[in-house]
Amino acid sequence: MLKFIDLFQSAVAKCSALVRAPVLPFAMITILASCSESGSPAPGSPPPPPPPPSSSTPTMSIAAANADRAEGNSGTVAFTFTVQRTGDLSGTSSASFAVTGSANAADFGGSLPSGNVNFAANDGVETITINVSGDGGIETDEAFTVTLSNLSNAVAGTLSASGVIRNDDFGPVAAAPANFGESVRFLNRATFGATEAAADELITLGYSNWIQREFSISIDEQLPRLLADGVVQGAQLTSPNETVITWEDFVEGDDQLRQRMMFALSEIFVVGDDTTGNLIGRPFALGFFRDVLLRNAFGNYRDILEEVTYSPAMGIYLTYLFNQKGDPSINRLPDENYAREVMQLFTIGVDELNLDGTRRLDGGGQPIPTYDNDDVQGLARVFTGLGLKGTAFGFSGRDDDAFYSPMEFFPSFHETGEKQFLGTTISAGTNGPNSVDAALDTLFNHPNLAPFVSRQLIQRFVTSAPSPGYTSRVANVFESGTFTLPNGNVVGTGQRGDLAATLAAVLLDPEALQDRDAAPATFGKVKEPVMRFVQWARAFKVNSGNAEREDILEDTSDPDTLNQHPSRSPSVFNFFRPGFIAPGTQTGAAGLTAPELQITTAPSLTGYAATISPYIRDTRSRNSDTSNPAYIPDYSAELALANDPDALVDHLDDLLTGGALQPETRDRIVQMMNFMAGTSSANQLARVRIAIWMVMTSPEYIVQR
Amino acid sequence: MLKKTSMTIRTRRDILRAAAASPLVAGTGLATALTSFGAQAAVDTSGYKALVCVFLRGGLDAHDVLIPTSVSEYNEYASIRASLLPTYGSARDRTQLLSLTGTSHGLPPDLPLLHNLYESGSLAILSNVGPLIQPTNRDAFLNNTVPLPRALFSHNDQQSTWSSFQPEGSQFGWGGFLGDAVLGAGANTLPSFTAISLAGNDVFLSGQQTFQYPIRASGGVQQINEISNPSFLGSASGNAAAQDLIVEHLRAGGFDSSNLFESDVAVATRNAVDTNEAYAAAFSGAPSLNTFPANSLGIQLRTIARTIAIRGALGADRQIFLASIGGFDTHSGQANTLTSLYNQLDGAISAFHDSMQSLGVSNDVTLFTVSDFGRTLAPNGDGTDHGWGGHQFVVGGAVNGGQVYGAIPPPEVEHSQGVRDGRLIPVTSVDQYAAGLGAWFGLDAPALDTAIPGLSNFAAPPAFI
Repeated sequence: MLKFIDLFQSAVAKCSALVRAPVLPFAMITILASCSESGSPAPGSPPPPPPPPSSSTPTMSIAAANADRAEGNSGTVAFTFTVQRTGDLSGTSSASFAVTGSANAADFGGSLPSGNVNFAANDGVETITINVSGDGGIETDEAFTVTLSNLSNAVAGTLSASGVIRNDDFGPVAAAPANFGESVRFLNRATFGATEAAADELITLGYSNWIQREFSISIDEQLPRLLADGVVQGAQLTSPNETVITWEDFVEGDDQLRQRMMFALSEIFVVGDDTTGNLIGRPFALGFFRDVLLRNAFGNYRDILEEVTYSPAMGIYLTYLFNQKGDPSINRLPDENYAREVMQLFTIGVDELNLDGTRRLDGGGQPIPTYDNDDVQGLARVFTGLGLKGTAFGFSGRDDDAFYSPMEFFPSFHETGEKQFLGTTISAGTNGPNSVDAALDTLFNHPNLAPFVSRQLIQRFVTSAPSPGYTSRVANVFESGTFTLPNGNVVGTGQRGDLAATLAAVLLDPEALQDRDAAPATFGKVKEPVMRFVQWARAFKVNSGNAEREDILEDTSDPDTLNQHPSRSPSVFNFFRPGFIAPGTQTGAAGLTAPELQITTAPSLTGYAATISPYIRDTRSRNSDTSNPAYIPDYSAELALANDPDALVDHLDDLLTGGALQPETRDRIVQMMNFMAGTSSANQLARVRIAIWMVMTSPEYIVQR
Repeated sequence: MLKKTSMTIRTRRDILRAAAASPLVAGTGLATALTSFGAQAAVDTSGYKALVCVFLRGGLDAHDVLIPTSVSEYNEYASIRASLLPTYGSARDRTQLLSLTGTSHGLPPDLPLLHNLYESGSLAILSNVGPLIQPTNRDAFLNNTVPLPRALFSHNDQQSTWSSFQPEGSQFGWGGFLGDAVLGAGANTLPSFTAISLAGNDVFLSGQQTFQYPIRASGGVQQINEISNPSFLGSASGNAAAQDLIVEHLRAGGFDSSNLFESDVAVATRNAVDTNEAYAAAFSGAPSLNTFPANSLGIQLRTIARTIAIRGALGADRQIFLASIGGFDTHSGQANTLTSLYNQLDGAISAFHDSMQSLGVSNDVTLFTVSDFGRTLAPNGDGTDHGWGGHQFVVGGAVNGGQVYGAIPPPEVEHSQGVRDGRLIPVTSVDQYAAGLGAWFGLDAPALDTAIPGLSNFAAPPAFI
């Protein structure tokens, strides 16, 4: 049922960027491209074609600016088109416009929009705004075309451009997966990989009970286990350490959703223990940091922000540990590192956002910077005077526990002058803890926070380029702090930033749970390499008790292995950027962000295929202590099917991809099984191993959708 | 064998061309603009030439590269950096600096080999280069009277802007456009080896027809036993049809999905298999070139040198390489970090220059550095913060070396090209820097205007090459 709320409106707004645009042709193109940039998640679309040779009469063309959008549920959404005039601009010009297409009058508030576009002398760009009425009805996407006519003092360039009104309404989500494949599909997002038992259990429990069960599982913090293992300061990769514990938790932890959320959060709040960094040899600091993320995985974003800010790992990683207030007498300024990155990467990002994650644009069609360098310098004054727990403002003589206790303020090193940033003023004389509180409150209450965090969580769990509707639904939950599960139970505390509610909204959104074959071509994501590996380990029930024996798992950062190692990204910018659009690809041409494609290269695809092989085959070398070997897979279910290639491939397809294998892939695996004939146990094992390797190197396994 | 290889490469190109002809790509304006490369522009592809971009990630502190050697200027410099210089020990004492002929500045003592290259005329320094929309000075910046690059001072955005003139999310870089220009002019029988990255997928090397080939830092190709070891196929060991099938599986041959992510992965894995095969075959004949230091940049530049050595087998007339090292974001502990990074740069770049001479291609290969941004002149204690313009090195036999191009900024925190604690406002734009390199690479003026859309906002580039 469609509801029409707003009357037809159209407006012609000036694109003010042109006023300052240089007159040189190429610069003009660049400015115009920015001016017409859509609100899509990232910029960088190529500029429009250069103008034809100038003549005395200008040429007029129309192009879509921001005209492929969700319709919204109420009110109107502005779809914009840029009309551009090139050539001799000294006179005035005008044209009429009209709308046609599969969208009907009701979509525009009652009548199909039409109107005029007028250019004053020296005016090169005008914007046509078509307001589309939102509704709550489930419908197909609708297209419409804006066509120019009746040109006055203008010759025709491109006279029509199209918009697409995206449906953003869905029916209620199912209470439980409809079948085993759907169950696997859900678990491959919400956990480190489906197992047969978990998939069966989810069908029985339903989504609501499953999520509530996961929320209730108690936390197994890392730091106490590190201490119990006798890990010592300076221990690196060869001792029982935080990286071994993390692999074990990912593979075997019974708190899978919490572990999965910790991993996602660790890719927003990035610290790394790479061998060139300052955290190497400080396993306590990493364990303490991971516990912040584990403890607050279903808590509140504000708490994470504060606990991360005080964590020695972040203080060391972003260099504000022992950062002193400025001293004008010797030209010394506060370190700006954390002030900049806590804004850019942990809370608000560089451009102002709409709730649906698209960029807000100014009157000239340009993104609006969220902050400038004065804000960075003002905020940098807050993060001064933080030191390790203890009595001295320096590293020497610290006990181990200083690295796993919150940092503390040393008042004489803290800036007590006024601090100004983002419109907030912290008055002179405010102490460190109160200044941090005020600063983090400002960031936490910024309107960018909800879409900024929500979109990244969707990217980590479900799909790389979420629709604006999906992002806005999750962002609304982030702001309200509650989410109603399919069984009617409400999760969340009702506080802004509640992550239990937000995570439930990410996983149980109707777009996430829509039928795989009905989902648009733009839905899905490349599975992170760490996930691809751990999914195998879980699916085949490996024992991981002695993971420290695994040479390969000590560091999987190299492209020859997984090109990714938990908590070891090359910089605070993570392994990949949420705004990465892969050059030279179909997703890139469609303007889709695809973070994981940033680390998907010829060497890393080869490295992945070569690295999983000795695990699947259980033939890799282990380090010197080979007692109690780990990561030994249990293929008993597969060996039972080894003499029936079709059944084996069906089983692996269900278990590993939830039934996503395409016929070409499936047929090749069956054909390979037939080539590898024989009924001996060795023949059977060889077939099972190759079949698993072929599934795991298929696009259908590498991508989740 | 070679014939089979080139056939698979052609197949790949056909696929890519088909992709490039899809409405999604052909509908963009840039495709139209680039088709004019051939019609209006002249591109010289004779002989062999290679550009090697070394990306110094994190933002190299320009104020620690060109340091005043006159007593008065040095004292001003030292007074502004009073809290930082002691952390270097004596290494930033005026008498330790390596004086650059023709200037009143010197390099830090950790760059003796680069200093030698400068003095022998094989290394030029471009002073205060960075992203600009149009010429800009302090007044214009503070009064907001000129358009500025977006997201200044942000690492990822400025890396992207250096590479592609736009912040994160951009699709095409000027390295890729240089590739498009030479491919459009008929260079390179195997187009896959036009743009080679040792820094993963990077927008710098992405063009309309140029598809970068990322390789391992150590060169060569990792072996996949399922393909190379017949015993992995059990009872089908030695069965040629089974061997072909496993290769075809990894190539996702015939894979057809409407899903764009699955399609991208299928194409990526197919390209990897095809291109790896040709590269591995050629690389097996590369000379060892064992004279490089065993640090990250040394390993990468050695692989680039070895790849240049097999340019004939790769069918290459024009190539663009990208190497990168991180660590330049010296907010803290700058003295230790930069000293170590300088040692790495000094040894690796000079070894690269030596290897180009020994291969007889030193006049045909030009190495240049880029970095996110320079840093503040005023320190934060033992480090410095994000700036804008920075100094860059250009190395090779074709370089008009032994000179610094562009005014060297004064040791002051506020001046006509410096604001807010000595962040430099560039005097030379990335556009001009790219144009100088592109002209040497073979592009004429119309071709450069197409490859570097903002170029016409600026004067001719300095004659550093």
